[in-house]
Amino acid sequence: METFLQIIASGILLGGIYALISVGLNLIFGVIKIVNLAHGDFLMVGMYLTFFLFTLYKINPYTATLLVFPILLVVGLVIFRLIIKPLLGKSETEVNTILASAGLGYVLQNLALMLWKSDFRAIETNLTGKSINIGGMMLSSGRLWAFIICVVVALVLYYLLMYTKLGAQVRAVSQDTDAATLMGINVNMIYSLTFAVGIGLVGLAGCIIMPIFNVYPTVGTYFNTLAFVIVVLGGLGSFTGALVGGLIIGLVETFAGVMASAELAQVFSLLLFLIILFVKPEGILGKAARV
Amino acid sequence: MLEINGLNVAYGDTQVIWDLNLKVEQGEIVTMLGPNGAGKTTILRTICGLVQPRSGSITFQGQDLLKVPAYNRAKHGIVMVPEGRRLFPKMTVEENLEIAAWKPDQKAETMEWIYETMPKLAERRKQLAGTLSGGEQQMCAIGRGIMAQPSLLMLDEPSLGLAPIIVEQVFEILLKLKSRGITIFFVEQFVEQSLKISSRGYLCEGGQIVLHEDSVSMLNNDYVRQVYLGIA
Repeated sequence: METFLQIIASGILLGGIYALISVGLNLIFGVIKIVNLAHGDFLMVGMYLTFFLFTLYKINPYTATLLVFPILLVVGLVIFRLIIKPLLGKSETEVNTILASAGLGYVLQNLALMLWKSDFRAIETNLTGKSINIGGMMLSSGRLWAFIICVVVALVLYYLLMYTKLGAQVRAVSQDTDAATLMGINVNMIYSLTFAVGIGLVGLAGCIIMPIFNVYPTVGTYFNTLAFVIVVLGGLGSFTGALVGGLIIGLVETFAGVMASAELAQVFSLLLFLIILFVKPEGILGKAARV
Repeated sequence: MLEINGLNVAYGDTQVIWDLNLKVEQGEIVTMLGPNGAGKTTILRTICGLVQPRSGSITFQGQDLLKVPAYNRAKHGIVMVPEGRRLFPKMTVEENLEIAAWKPDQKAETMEWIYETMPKLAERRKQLAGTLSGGEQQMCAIGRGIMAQPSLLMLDEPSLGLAPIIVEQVFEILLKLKSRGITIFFVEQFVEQSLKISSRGYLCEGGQIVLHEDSVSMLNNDYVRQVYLGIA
């Protein structure tokens, strides 16, 4: 029983982290209706930034969020302006943005390879290897902190979306761009803001997972698959979908890791993903597409 | 107030509006009639900036409207209630109304007026707009338009898909809006009822204005009576 609780707790912690990694992807898809295949590579950029801030300037990864989030926010604004915006409102927008973002992902990966080699890099903070005992469960300090930050970020984001004027405008744009324009909302401004926040959030996720995972130029590929499974599982474009999907994948991977083996963990989550695609293709919280 | 001259609009290679002239004066209710596919919706969408014309001019209160980006036209006083309502379905009635409000000092008064004029909306203020009935959605869409404080409100087929008794209510609301000082330009297929509340009418066919008269003459026009009212 105790192991069972332990697995559940670890799974939830991991799930929260996965949710934070995915939430930006879903935000961008939900509002702009584009699939950003470079999502994981921005996570990689966030992780490298955190790595160097720590090794060169002794900046703690959690403090680094205050720097990395705004940096990636600006990167998001620039990328939107240069790469995404020219493709919007033209023919084949969906395909073109997928191709463009995939290309961007390769550029980022190879830039990282050129600048920092393919070495696996990790940081050792004062939390590394430490655990906290909560009610008999041993929880990794790094993961616990990461989870807490995920919850805070999710709550802040939820509040902003649901209870501010800007959030209402974002929701309006996600539901009907023409009607939003007619009501005086600058759709393009909302798009660039959403894209920037989505990229900023994945950068922030890069900070908080840096104490837990290694960084290397193609680390984004692994997390990209994961993030896509999570948002499709939870429901594409649904904010809470990313949270639910993250928790489910976190739990499945942790259980599979304990019951079978760590190598098989992702096999189980992808298996579940396939099952969900057959049974409820719109995702757990997704609404069936209107015909 | 609104003046359109020599307007040409095309989607790709297909021209849909041909050299169109149109005028709406302050305080009027003007209706534009015509069959499906005549280009009525395109005209409204062009005035709002959702469609860019190929040539021609649109001036509104003396200002060149084509220089104003679409999202700023509401703030210039020109607001459209689009065809099929186009509410934000996952937002509540109240949120739908609030999102259009950009003049904070007039927000409360306008909302109160809307709830008074359309009491059904007051009952449903916390309900998601997507769950309203067709008539309630149309009321909500009109309410949302008014919240933007328009001087000219345009409506694209407000009666679409509504029961006759609801259509009557919608038209009554249009009259109330007129007495509130809002100029109205709307597109309709209900010829008789529309002309009865309007001062003038335009008949649009094949992307051109084929007839422009005051409402009474239009109602008595042989062509209109034969083709649109089915009276020989």
